[in-house]
Amino acid sequence: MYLRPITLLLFTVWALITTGCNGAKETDEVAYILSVGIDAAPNNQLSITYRIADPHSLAGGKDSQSQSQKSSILINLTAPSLTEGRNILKSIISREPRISHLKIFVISEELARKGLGDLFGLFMRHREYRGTVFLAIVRGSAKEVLEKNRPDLDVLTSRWVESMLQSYFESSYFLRADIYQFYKRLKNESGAPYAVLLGLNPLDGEDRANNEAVGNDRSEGYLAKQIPRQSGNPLEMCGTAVFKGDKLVGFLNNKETRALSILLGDLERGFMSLEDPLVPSKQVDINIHLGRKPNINVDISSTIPAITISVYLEGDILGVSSGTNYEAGDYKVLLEQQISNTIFEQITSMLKRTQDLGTDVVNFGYYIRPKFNTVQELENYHWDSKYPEAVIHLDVQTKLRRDGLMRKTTPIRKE
Amino acid sequence: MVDNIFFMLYRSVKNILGYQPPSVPPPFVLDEHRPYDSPKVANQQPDKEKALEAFSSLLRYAHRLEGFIDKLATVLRSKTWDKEAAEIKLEITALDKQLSQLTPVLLRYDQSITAPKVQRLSTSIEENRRTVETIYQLPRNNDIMLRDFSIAGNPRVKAFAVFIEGMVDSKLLDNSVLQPLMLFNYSRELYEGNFTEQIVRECLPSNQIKRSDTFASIETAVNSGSTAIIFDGIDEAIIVGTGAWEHRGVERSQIEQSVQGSQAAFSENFRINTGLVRSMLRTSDLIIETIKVGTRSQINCALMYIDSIANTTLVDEVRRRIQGIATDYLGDTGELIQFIEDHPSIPFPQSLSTERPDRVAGHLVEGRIAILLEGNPFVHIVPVSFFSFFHSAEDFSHKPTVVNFMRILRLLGAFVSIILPSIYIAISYFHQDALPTELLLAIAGSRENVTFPAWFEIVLMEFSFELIREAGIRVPGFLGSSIGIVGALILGQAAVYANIVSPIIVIIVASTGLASFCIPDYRMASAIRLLRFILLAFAATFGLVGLATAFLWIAVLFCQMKSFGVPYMTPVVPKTIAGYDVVLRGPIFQQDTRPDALNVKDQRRQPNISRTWKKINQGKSDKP
Repeated sequence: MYLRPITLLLFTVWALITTGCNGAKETDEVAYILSVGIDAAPNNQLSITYRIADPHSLAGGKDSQSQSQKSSILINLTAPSLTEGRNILKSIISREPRISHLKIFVISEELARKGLGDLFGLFMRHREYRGTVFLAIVRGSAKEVLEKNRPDLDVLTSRWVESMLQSYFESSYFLRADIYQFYKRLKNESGAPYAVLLGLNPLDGEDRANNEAVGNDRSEGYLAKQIPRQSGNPLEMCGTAVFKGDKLVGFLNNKETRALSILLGDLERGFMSLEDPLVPSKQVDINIHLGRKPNINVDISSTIPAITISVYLEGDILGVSSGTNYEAGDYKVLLEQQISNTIFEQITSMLKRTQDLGTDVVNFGYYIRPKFNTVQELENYHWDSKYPEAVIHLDVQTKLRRDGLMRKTTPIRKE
Repeated sequence: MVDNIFFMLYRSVKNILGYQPPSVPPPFVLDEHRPYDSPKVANQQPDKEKALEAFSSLLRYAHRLEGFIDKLATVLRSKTWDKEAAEIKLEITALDKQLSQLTPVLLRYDQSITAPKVQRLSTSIEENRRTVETIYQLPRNNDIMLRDFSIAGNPRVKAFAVFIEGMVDSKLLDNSVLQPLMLFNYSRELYEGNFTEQIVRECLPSNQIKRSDTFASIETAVNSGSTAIIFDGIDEAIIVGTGAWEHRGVERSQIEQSVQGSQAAFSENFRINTGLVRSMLRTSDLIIETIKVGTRSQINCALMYIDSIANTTLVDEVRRRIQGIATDYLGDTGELIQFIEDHPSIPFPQSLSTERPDRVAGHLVEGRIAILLEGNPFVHIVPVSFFSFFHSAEDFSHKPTVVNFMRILRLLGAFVSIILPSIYIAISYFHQDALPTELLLAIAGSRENVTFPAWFEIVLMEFSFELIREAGIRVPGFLGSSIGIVGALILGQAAVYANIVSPIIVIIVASTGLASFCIPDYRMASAIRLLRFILLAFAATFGLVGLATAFLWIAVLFCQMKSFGVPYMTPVVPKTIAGYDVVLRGPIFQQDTRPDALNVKDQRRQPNISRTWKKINQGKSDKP
């Protein structure tokens, strides 16, 4: 008579057992890998560096004084692939290495120039690699980057990475790049992949950039590692690494990266220090942002494609050191013209560099898609080979909207 | 068909797994109220019954007349008739009056058009008694007392007193109403001039006295605790203020405390308890039936409902169930409920237990039934839905916005109390990816020095918490708080310090315990506490999938449960017209209808516009 309930119970237990929910792990059975650095090693091997969180030091309460000293450990090993590397890692640490909380891949320039295609097969297929893991290229050794990263404000390096890349829009001097976005651009018909550029600054205060400022901008463009400074975390993010296919071909400096973000339509805000249009020795500070998304049109009717870009920027005046009344009238137009010219030249310089490198980072190829009926036709057009020759018509308009807390200033009184 | 081994096997498996109709009678499902099913509706009697009623009235008059003639004959024979003259004269006038009332047209008019309440008193004590019995639906309603007596005097006048037991002060009634009337006036000449005035002036030493000649005023007075005395041959009653339903013994509610509203709680005295309900609900529609329960110790069980609202089949069903209890002793309403509820094996309460008369009154007005057992201060209200357990007594004393905040808080508390430990276990075991890295590492860090697995920590702490809770109830009152302090503070602190549990577990168990205390109903809170352990087991074994499965099963369980024929999850499942008082509650002046699922006789509580002063045209013309 109890047969039915018993059978029901057995079926239930069976149904639950077959759910496959048997992967339970205590938190002290798992080692959380926070960042992975990959360098090229001889004989087609990879030198892999793991930064693994050490939860001991993160326990709240009792002894929190020695907290920031050792929040994580560093392990370096050489293996032919990431999977093999993880196997070897298990021979070193007592716990199960888990990648699900991985924040960033740091890949050395040398390896990136050889091509990253082999790595991405694993990244996209393996469950534990998330699409939101950031991708950074380092000018130098990835191992060194992981070693020398000493965040000033954050306890964990993972937090440093997250905060850096999630607030990139504060300056747009580097762009947020994760492996999903990279992979998408890698496999799509158009659009060159890009990654964040990392570098270890020698902290000697020397200006290594030595290039000319573009337009009326008062500051020159920097790549990571070039910023003249003497203190702080030696690690810096600045500029963008640009790929052709899966191979690294070149870098965009911070000004070019911002120009790129304008064309990508995600510039939220950014300061500019310009030469005063009337008093070239003085400077004007502006905060610019996009008035609307750039209007991009690609004409492929002739053999050489023609790209028409119209950018509309808005800006706020932050500082006028000469005291000229740029807030109103013709002066305002003059200043707006100055901004437009600078941005125009910065964008042009960026586009020229990408055309020289043959990489369509802005993804102009996206805009030609409606002109084809089938994917095959689109593929046969070979946009990537046409892009370097494309003629670009750029138009930048700026409108100054606000003038900060002051309506008007007067020049400094002369003695 | 060949009867080979495969078919035999198939049949045996089918017998085991296949559906077989249950051997128990079909469960009771509360249906719509159908007036033609119930014989007890007073207003629309068929013509035949009316005719019978009229005929028996006439017959009674004839009997009375006959008795009078006999009496007259004896008096005339005895030759002392001048003494009796006044009485006879009075009786003749009374008979005259009754005759004039009895003209058939008037009689028919009285009985068909006028409800018994609006009738005026008759001169016949018989008629008056019958009317009172109709009004109070005697003998169903048995805390209404009719006390027959004769007034000592010359002549002896028959009379009876109407009062509600439990609402009158018995001593007052005995000493200052019955005693003077029955004993003191040995030689007083009655029936001289105005009889009632004479009684009031000379016989009744009571301080609150009123004279009345309509049943409506008698009813109102009796419902509020007064005693009405009706005399033979007089179409006027005397109402004596005896309204003192004993305050003694009524104390503040200990279990259901509230900031606002009535503070009175039921006590152990049966009649005080029924009196408390009557004092809250002053209508003769309130029926308090008494059923004896138990074979060895016969104990009174009161079934309280409002006759013009509660569904008759529901009342019949509850009565049938209570009458169907065959046991020798019942000591507690909780025991009684377990005998009669639909699902005794499910831990969730299916009746609302309360010790507050105001709550009982509120539910009775909604059309529910209250069950009270003699010697027990807890009244159980049936049928109830799941959401009723999250309402508190004072919900309607506050403004809707405030109450809604508190109600959401309570539901959230219940949810947290069920789910928090299990969700922690599920996430920390199976879904570590779901947490932000920093939080995960903080949790992992706090667990680094703890040797036990996380599920064991939770079970250990939950168990300790239950120990503290149970110990706090069992020890004498003044030790309770110190147990809480010792248990919660010192034990938790020491356990963390000794690396037996991680601090986060202490936080989780403490907040779970706190959340479980904000569920207003103690029995619901206990059931939910039990549920927590089941969910914990599922979460520790199967993660969030297990948690979801367990929740699904609970949902299925809730949806198939019934509380006295009413689905447990109404008005959500099945969907019925929900008033403004389920999870949230609307303004009190928009609570126009009673709960749909109760299928009451009178759906409407108040008109759509219940604040009539808001009407524009009023106030200009109506004001004096």
